[in-house]
Amino acid sequence: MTGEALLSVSDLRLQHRQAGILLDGVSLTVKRGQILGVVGESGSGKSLTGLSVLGLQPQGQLSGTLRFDGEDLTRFSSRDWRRFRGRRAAMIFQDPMTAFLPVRRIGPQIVEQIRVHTALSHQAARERVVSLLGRMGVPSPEQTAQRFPHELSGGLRQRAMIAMALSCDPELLIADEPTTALDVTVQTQILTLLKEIGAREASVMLITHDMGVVAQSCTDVAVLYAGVVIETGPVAEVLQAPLHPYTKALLRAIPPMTGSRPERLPVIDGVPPSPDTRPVGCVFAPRCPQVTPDCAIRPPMRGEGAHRAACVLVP
Amino acid sequence: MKALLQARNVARMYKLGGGAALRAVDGISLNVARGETLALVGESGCGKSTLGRLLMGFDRPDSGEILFDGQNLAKCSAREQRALRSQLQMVFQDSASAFNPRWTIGSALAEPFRIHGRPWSRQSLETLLNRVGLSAAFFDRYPAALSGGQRQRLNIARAIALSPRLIVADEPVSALDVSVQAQIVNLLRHLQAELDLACLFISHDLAVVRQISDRIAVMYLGAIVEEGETLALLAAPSHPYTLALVEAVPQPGKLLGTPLQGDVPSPLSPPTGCRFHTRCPVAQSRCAVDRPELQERPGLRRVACHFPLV
Repeated sequence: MTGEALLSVSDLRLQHRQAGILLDGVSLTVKRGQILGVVGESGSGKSLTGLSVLGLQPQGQLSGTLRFDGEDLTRFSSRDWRRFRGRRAAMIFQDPMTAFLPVRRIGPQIVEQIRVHTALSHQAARERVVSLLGRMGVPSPEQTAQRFPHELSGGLRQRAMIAMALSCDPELLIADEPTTALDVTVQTQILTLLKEIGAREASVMLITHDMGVVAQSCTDVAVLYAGVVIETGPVAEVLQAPLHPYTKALLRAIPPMTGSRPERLPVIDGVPPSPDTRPVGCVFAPRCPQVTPDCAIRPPMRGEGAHRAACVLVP
Repeated sequence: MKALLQARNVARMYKLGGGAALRAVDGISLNVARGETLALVGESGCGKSTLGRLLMGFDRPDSGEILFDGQNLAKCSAREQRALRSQLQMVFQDSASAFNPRWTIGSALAEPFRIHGRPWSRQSLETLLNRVGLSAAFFDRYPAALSGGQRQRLNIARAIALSPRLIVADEPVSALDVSVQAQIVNLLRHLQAELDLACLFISHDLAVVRQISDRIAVMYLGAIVEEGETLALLAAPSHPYTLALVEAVPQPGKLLGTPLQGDVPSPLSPPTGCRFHTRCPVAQSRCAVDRPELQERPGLRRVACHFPLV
């Protein structure tokens, strides 16, 4: 089953009446058994891409194709969505505190989701929750299931959140900045867990702003800038030999942890374009050090094999 | 070298309801020399922000003393305190809430001068804006017109307005995107060199800390566990906790290390003995009963561990 496309998004556009063009041509594929890192700075559209896959994007004009295991998500009725969300694809967020109902214990909340989507009895669902929590590395899962969300530490809450997301065996787990609110030592724990999930249970779409997180836990990566996927490919190739000037600049801006300390960190001049002032041509052209006259036309994805970038400089 | 800022055995405890007490800062001593950057590193709840607030004089320590330029802030008269305060400024993480949204950028920048009764002119404030890389055209506009990175520049401009000798920066780049973060780190380094400004840089991000600091103090549950020169400390940590932090930094081209087990214990009931022993991969029975003191080690290093790695 590995290698077959589970989710394919192509040329996804989302236009909002007030805010402008939020997504401006997002194309990416999540294959079975893959952990795809969707990386970009704030406002690049990475979270919106994740939400669109679950039909949770803000009201606006959505165009392009969204195919999940052969089905066309853009034609889903609200009934189809209800059966899809949580069952076939599930999402976890940065802040697990707001994702759980604060006045109910953790266990019953997960039981409820299982009972909505499957025919399991209450007792069987409860057992399943305990075993899930155990698998997610929650110590003494039986007792933890009886706790309220506020009684758990941030790391444990995120584990419980992942258990809830995986409770109905979804094929795709969308994780939106799952470790941003956590301490570094706990972040490593959660990333290790996501890696295991990607290898065994479900494909993962990991939305993050941190190239380091992508490097350590993803198999593939899609780099977003101003609502456009500008580079995509296997993690090792993209990080070692980035094709797009934006990816190159972004990687250079990370302060190094080894070697000599640069006098100044390389920076990208200027700021990303706001949704209502996106350039017609290449979205990065106004800040690009290698801009050419050809950049006035939006470049398509180019490159050989799986590693491709939307840049005129790519042969 | 004479220390500009000196903390001697500073402790701060907060009494909570039901007889519980939280030892946020538990006997910390440190020095910041003139023009030096000391980074305070640790996970959430380790007390690094509380220590920053104590050093700024926003809060009083229960015991121990804090000396700025040899003077004890807590024992000064109000007038002396005010004079000292102008030499000691703070930069916060959340630049959005650091400014009154209804004040123009110019009046926000003039405030420190008004408070300390110093003269200012529109021209001098515009020069100040330029100095942090902001256009003077922002003078009559409102903070809402600025992006996150620009607002953090303004925050820094206000902090250096009175030519302080020390700034305490609490997670100043944590809320920013990588490319903007690099700009602010460069700006801070440039200003420090130009103004001979010392800095206490509070952060959880070791990569940023490596770029900006001369020395690092690592905190865990209210105490310093290791302190030393930045590059040497990160290249060869002595304390197992420092090593775990260094290995947990996600970096391109490095594999995911073995994570530390468990969470940071609650500061309400910290473990006995060495506070890190519950998560320490090399802990032995002695660590559970006997709390290690910070001890001088070769190479200007101080470590609180019975079994240091280096």
